[in-house]
Amino acid sequence: MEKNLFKSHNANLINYTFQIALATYATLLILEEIWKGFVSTYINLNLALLLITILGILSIFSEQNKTKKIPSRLDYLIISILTILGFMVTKSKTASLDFSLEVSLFSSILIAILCLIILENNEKQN
Amino acid sequence: MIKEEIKNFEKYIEEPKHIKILKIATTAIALTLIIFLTYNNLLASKEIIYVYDIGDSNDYLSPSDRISKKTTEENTTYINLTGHLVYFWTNIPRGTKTIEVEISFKDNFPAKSTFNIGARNNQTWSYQYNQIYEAKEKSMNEKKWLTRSTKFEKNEDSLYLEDRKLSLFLNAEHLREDLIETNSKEIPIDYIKITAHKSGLIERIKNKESFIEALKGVLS
Repeated sequence: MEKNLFKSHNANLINYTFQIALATYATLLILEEIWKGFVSTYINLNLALLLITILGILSIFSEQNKTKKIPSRLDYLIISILTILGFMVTKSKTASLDFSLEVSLFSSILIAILCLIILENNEKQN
Repeated sequence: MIKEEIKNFEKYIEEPKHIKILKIATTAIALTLIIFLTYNNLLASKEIIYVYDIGDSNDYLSPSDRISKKTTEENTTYINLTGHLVYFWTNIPRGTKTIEVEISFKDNFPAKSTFNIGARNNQTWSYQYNQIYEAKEKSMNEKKWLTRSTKFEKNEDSLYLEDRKLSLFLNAEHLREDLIETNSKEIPIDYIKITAHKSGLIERIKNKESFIEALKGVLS
């Protein structure tokens, strides 16, 4: 039997907060990776990670929204953007390596495949 | 009757006001954070100060064989320079134009000796250095704590950063190994204060830099 500490609107709020915090953290992490010191000069990212971990744990014990959406064009657009972004970040971080292009291509293909698998699973559940 | 029940159910499942407000607040906090970082990194001109309490940790200065262990004297904990050319690393924020180095040290210099601070300006361990103190024949400051500072221009002095960090050296020439007569006169160091003057996009554009140049400047 599923036991949830948070239900209904409270669960919805915790899940929402976790998603926003995670997205913000990912954005800050990418900014820090591209321009070192952009974030860490002002904010301790380790403390932010601690906060996200706590929110993540609370989110696990919260009731999940069962309604699933049919994938739209927007989903595919987001996947494309994430793939390109992944390529750019990997390329910039591995610029000094001989196989930089191959590594970047491989990682961006991996991002695209993972996103499509998640999207496909959602479709099947519907 | 059914319509009324549907209305009641809709009211029940509708998100309460306080949940809506909290969701908006969460989004606002995230947005504020990103705006804060963008403003501070790109737009604002400011001074960022790092104070390194040298007496607090043995990790700030290197190599370890050119410094002493911590010593406490009259509420001041310090470390002595026991050899010449002692190195020190400091963070330099993006967009920094000028770096001011302030150092607190005790005057234990032999007559006519000098104290220099250098900042790395090349990948090959080359340094641009400035003299911050010169001991006279009869010093009035002997055994007194002194504070001196010097400035480096990031672009004009072509300072070289490694992972956003700048290497500095402290050079008390009289501590060279071969100068037996003077190399026992160790120099106590209390703290090093680094003030980075960061010039933002607005100030750079006001100073007639083109937008692209200004953007490159704040991100460099």
